[in-house]
Amino acid sequence: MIDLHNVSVEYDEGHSALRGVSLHVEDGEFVFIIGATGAGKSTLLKLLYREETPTQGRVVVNGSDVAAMRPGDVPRFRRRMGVVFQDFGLLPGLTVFENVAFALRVTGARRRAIRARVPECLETVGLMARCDAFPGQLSGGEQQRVAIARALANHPALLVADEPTGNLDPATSLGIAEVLYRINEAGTTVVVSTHDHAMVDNQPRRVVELAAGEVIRDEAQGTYQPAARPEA
Amino acid sequence: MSFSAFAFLVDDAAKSIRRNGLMSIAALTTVTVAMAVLGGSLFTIYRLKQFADSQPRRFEILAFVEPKADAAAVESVRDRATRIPGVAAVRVYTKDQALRDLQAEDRRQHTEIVASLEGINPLPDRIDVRVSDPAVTVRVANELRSPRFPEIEQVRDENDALSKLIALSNVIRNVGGAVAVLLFIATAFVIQNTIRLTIYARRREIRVMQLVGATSAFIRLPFLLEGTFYGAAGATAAACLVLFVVSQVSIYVRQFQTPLTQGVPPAVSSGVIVVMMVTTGAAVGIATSVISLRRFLRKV
Ligand SMILES: Nc1ncnc2c1ncn2[C@@H]1O[C@H](COP(=O)(O)OP(=O)(O)O)[C@@H](O)[C@H]1O
Ligand SMILES: [Mg+2]
Repeated sequence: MIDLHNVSVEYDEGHSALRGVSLHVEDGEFVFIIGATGAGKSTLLKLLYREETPTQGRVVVNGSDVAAMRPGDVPRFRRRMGVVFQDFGLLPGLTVFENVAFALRVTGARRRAIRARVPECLETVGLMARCDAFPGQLSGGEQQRVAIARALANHPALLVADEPTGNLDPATSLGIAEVLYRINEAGTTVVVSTHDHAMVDNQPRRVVELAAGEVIRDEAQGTYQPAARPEA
Repeated sequence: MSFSAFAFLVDDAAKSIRRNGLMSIAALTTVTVAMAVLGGSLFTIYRLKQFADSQPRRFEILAFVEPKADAAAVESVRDRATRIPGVAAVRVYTKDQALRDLQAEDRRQHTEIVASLEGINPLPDRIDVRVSDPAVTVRVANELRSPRFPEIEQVRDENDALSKLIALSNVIRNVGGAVAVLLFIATAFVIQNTIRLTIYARRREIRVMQLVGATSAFIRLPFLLEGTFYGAAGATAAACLVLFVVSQVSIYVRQFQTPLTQGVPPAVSSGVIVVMMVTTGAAVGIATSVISLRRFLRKV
């Protein structure tokens, strides 16, 4: 699903957000990307949905070489993945249903397909009951669920979430994590960046830790703090 | 593209035109003024040219050769005059021919002018020049007056009114053209700003569209529609304005139905004017939105 080979990203001359990162993620895996602010988590995820291209190295996602991709190919590439952010990114003027439908409308889906698909996505995140509400009438956790439902609309093979619980309290965060696990169990590869200890430790998963743009840890069943380096 | 997708785009464009409020009105107004000036000047030039062309073509310039000049000198003047750019035809009206015509005139009028000359012919040879375009009359006449034609004593420009008309139409072309260009720059500027506002107002939507994989054409189309609307709608208003003024002017002119205006062909139909102006306006609108999208819409 994902193959990063010796990838570096340099925003400014001499300062690298990522340095020689290699990472392989199988189809259907669930991966936490952790690390302090500025460690390069967002940059790594941006490579996955081709918001950024590597300064050096090779990034292959879903069989496509991200650096070699022509701009015209980006839309089709993105339709095979869903992206979720810390700030939800919902359109305030549209209802929950319309927000999810939006992702389908702007990619040319037919009305009938939209009517069938939107409820499925909202069921997955447990929000079908609020389908006529506007984002402003929802809690943060609910808004993030809508954003996840929207990310699912096009049946993505990969779901990328950049600190999806960054604005949420711990209990709500665990709820979001549950939704992400469920989506993963249905076969979607999920990559989540976070610095939320509780979420990572709740259910041990693969953990990739970044520090100053380098991978310093990659554990199949990791916790937020490395086991060999217990908290002082 | 499916019908529902297209309806979505049109709806989008309409919403943002309403949301932009004052800027939309500014965009429409500048397009209207610019197109009215352009359309009005072009139409005036076109009508003046039509009028000028409909006038019977005469020999517009009469150049009188010095009485002392011999036949060879007259020939030489004729040859050189023929080579002046803009000259369509040159005819020599000899002093002998002039005298014969005067005799004929004497017989008709029962006068004795020629007889009183007692065998001397005081009349000069004359070179008549017809120009290819009334606009160059003055230039050609001045050329004949210049030291390059020392044999020519006097030049009469017989078509003063017409060349003044042409000069006027040139002034309209230059001033109207310059004003229209300035107004088009203003128009482009205002439409660009309007599009930029729209991009700003819709930045969240655009971001979401880019992330869920909407094509760049799909994202751009509403902006193109919006720009096209400003261009086409402004031009329609301008066309109505021009047609109204034209109809008022022609009512006024028809009161003085003179032989001069008789032969002027009718103007192009209103439909042609509207189509030409609206097409131009729409093209300006599209071009400006393409430029603003390049400038303000970040790439995927
Ligand atoms: N667009 C950008 N331009 C310049 N520097 C950037 C940009 N985005 C991120 N950075 C820098 O790259 C480094 C990694 O940032 P980021 O990937 O956002 O880290 P994280 O998501 O882990 O907080 C930081 O030093 C940050 O300042
Ligand atoms: Mg980040």
